[in-house]
Parts: sequence; structure tokens; C-alpha cells
Amino acid sequence: MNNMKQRTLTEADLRRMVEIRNRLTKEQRSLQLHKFLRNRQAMVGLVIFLIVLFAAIFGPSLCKESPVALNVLNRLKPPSKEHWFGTDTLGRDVYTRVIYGARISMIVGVSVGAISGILGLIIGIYSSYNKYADEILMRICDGLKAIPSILLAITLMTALGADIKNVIISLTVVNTPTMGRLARSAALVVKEQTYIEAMRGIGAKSRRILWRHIAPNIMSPLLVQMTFVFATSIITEAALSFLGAGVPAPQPSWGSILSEGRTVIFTSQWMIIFPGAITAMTVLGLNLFGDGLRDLLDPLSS
Amino acid sequence: MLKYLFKRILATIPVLFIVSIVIFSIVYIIPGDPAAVILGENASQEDIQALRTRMGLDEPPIPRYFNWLDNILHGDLGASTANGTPVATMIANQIKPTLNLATFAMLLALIIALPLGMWAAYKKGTWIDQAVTVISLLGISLPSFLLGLFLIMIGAVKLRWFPVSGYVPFSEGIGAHFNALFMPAFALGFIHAALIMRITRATLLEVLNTDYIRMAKSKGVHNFVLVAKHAFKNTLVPVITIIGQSFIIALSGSTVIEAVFGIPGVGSLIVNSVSRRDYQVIQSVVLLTALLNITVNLIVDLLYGVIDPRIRLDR
Repeated sequence: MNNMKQRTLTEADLRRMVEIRNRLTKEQRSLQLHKFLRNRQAMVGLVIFLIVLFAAIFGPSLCKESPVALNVLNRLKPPSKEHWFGTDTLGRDVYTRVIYGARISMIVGVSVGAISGILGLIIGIYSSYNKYADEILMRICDGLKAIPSILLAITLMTALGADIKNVIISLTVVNTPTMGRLARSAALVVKEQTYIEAMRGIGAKSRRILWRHIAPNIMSPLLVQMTFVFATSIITEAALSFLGAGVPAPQPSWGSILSEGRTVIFTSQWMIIFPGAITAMTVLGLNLFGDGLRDLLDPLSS
Repeated sequence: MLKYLFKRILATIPVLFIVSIVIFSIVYIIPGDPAAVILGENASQEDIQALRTRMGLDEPPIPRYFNWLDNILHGDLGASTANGTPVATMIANQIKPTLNLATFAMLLALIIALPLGMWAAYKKGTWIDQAVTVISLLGISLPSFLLGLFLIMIGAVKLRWFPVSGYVPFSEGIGAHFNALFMPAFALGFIHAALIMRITRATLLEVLNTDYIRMAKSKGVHNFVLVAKHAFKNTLVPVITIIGQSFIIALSGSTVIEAVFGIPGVGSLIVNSVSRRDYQVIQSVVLLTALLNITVNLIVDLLYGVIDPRIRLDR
């Protein structure tokens, strides 16, 4: 109920997705894919995302400078040929730091999206199958979801200590309940389908039904949700680092660069404009891509 | 209605229980000895032991949990581990700016979102609709603290219309109060404006497609009356849900916005407590926010029953 920020899919969405998936033939699916490839917004989103991902993977090895190399004589220099995004309060190259920061954002986004997706799948599948597991797991999910996500993340970070590994753990704890709830609802929809009943009728073991037949069929809504979780994780990581509770100091994170920029906002606005624009573009790209993915998997939604 | 009310209240009890356990357990996930972690590397053994006793860490966890719960139910939120001030006093001293900020943010969001969302639905497919869609996509993609920074650059550094940071209490002048609060409230409210806009547009579109609206139209009801009176009422249920949730997210989101704009609210209290590792304060604030969240959700659910009696029968 609480994570509206990341736009969860509703029960009606899930029902449509599952039914559409069942109805489509192979040809219709390839037609759908073509439509997706022609969806301009989704493709723009994908391209933006791939550029950032590319920069995160290969950028650091292309950068001449180190993101932590101090050069106090060169502090707070505006953008120039040597320093595209200018330099910060300690004379470090902002461009290099933004590229290295992209690496942190991508690591956090990918890990949180993937881990919470997998955990959510497991929780959802078992809850849809076992009544007792359902009661216990769903109450825990509701409890966790009752705590606003940014506060839960801050609290966990304070307890665990500032570190990128702990950022991933905290954000996974924050996002898994939503994923679990979503996977459970989707699994319940799939469970009602005739072919599952037929499987049960011919005596298939429940483990086989759950993992071989239900799990693959609930992947599509989970994938859409994972792109949204990816985007919110980037925002939350930046917010945590902005508050000083995320990735620790010398490591460059978009949030900590912006936090430093806040202190020199009157004189050195390049420290906010460039990293800020790139953060916003990345999140925008992911949201556009996620929306396109949703339209692909659920053509009736829009 | 009474049965519905009772059932809803009963359903929140396990959630409350889980929330309290989660928040209580946080001290136990701290790697190593929490007291030693709080006091830092240079603390003496006696100081650490004293803090352990003060935090109750020497007692076994289960009796400690029930003790803690009992205290909270009696209104005792404990005292700050850093300076011994009662947490309730600290929160009471700093709640006002946060509440004002979140309320103002929600008002701004509603003023922006409701008319624009309705207008977009009414003019579906035109450039107005597209502009509204773009605005709402931007709102969702722009982190609030980033929007805050951009607003400071434009509104405070360039135009000099608003102060860069700080808070002016209501008692020191209404104009100054709202002037200082405008940019933070806008930064905080924009994402909610985007969400409310989306949901208003989508729901209104659905309602405009129903038979009774077509009927009213064919009977010659004026377009404005049609949307504002006949259709609007039926868009309320989803919109109210999202307003309730948005308010809670705005309250918790003010943590970051208060840091950007230097507002001395509960958010600053949390951020300061993070750097001091003052778990008692964080625990209490988080617990209160979760409680508030559960209460707001309950009220929203009950409001459904009032607005749309069919929902009462469903459950």
C-alpha cells in the first residue's frame, strides 16, 4: 500500500497480463515485440539506460584521472577542456566522479532489482501455495510496508553502517515486500487457470506445478516491477548518500557529489547541474523503458 | 458499517505487532556491540558497560521487548542515548515545521494535480493531455532533493525571490512563513502532484466512458457540470487512496527535503541522530511514522465505505 512512489501494478493489471500471455500465439508475440521496438519512448529510455550502463562498466577504465585524486590548487574550477564538468571543493574532477558514481548507482540498482525480484518470487510462490506460509509471510510484508521506505532504509543503514553492501541489503529489505505481494497476487491468478487445474488432475507434484508452470508465468509483471525498483533504488541510494547515510565519503556517489554541491551552490553550480541532470536522465530512461515494457506485456493498460 | 469498522481495526493488530518487532530488533542487527559502536573507538570499558545498562542490552531480548512496548503504550518513548533528553520532547519541539511542510506540499500537489488531471482526461489525445503526461513523467523521475537543489539555484541564487534555506515560524509573519516554505513544499509535493495527476486522469477517463455519463451528455448537461459534478464524485475513491498515502510519503520524504533546505523539523532530528547513531530517537520516530501510516490507511479505508457503500458490502 505504501510504495506508491514506485508505481506498483494492481491486481487487475496482473490478471490481464497472465491472460494475455496465455492467449498470444508465437506470431502475435513477435508482432508485439516489433511494436515494442517501434515504441519510441521505450527505445529512448533503453538507449539512455544503456549509455549510462556502458559508462558505468567501461567509463572508469577510460578516465585518465582517479575519482579521489586531490588537487587543491585546482579546486572549484568551472567546466573547461580538461575538466568537462569542472572540479569540486577538493579539486577532484567532477566528470570522473560522476562516471564512477554511475558504477555505484548501477551496481545498487541491478543488485536490488534482481535480489528483491528473486526473493519476491520465492515468497510469492510459497504464499500462493501454503496457507500458513501465506499468513506469516504476508503479515511480515505488511508490517515492513507500513514503515515508509526512506525511513526504513535510513534506520537500517544507521544500524548496519555506511557501506555499499549495506545499501544493497537495506534497499532489498525495503523493496522485497512489494515484490512478494505482487508475485503472490500473480501466482494466485495463474493458479486459477484451467491448465494448472489440468496438471493437478493428472497428478503432477506441487513442486513441479509451482516452479515449472506457475513461476515462469508470473515473470512478466515481476520484470516490469523490477525496472521500477531499479529506478527507485537509484533515487534512494542518492538520497541516502546525500544525507551521509549511504556510500561512505571518499567513494563518489551521485548523492554525495550533490551534497557537496549544496554547500557551494552560490558559486559552483556545475557541481549540481551535471550530476543532477545525469541522475534525472537515468531515472527517466528507466521509467520510460519500464512503461514500454508494461505496454508490451499488458497492451490493454494504456 | 460497525462490523466493517471492527473488522478493519482488528486486521491492523498483527501489522502493528510486526512493525514493533522489526523496529525493536534493529539494535540487534548492529554488527558487534551496539554500545561500543555508538560510543566509538576511544570509549572506555566502563562507559560502554554503563551505556549497555542504560540501553537495557544486558537484559534478554524478549522481556526487554515487552517492557519497551509497555512503556510506549504509556506514552514513554525513552530518552536519547546521546544527551538523555526524552524523545517525546525532542519530537514535540520539532514536529511543527515538518507537519506544516508536508501539509503545504500536499495542498500544492492537489492544487496542481486535480485540475490538470481532469483537464487532461477531458481533452484526451490533445496537446494538453500530452503536456500533462510529460509533466507527470518528469515528476516521477525527478528525485525530490534534486528538484529542491534546482529550485534553490533558480529561485534563490538567480532570481533571489526565496531564501536559500531556513524556516520562519508562522508567528513571525504569514508572508515570510510561506515564502520560506514555498520551495521546499514544491520540491516535496511535485512527485505527488505527478502521481495524483496520473490517477485522476486515468480514473476520470474510465468514468467518462460509463453509461450514466453518456446519458447525462445526451440529455444536454453542460460539459463543465458533467465533469465537475457528475463524473468527479466517482473518481474520488482512488484519488483519496493516493492522497492518504502521499501525505505519509511526504511526511517521511521531508527528511531529505529538510536537509536540503535546512529546516529544523523531525527530518533534521533523524539526520542528526544518524550521525550520532542515536537509535532511541530513530526507533521512536520510525515507530510513530508507521503508526501514523497505519492510522491513515485505516481512515482511508473507512472513508471508502462512506463514499462508496458497495465496498462495505464486498468485504
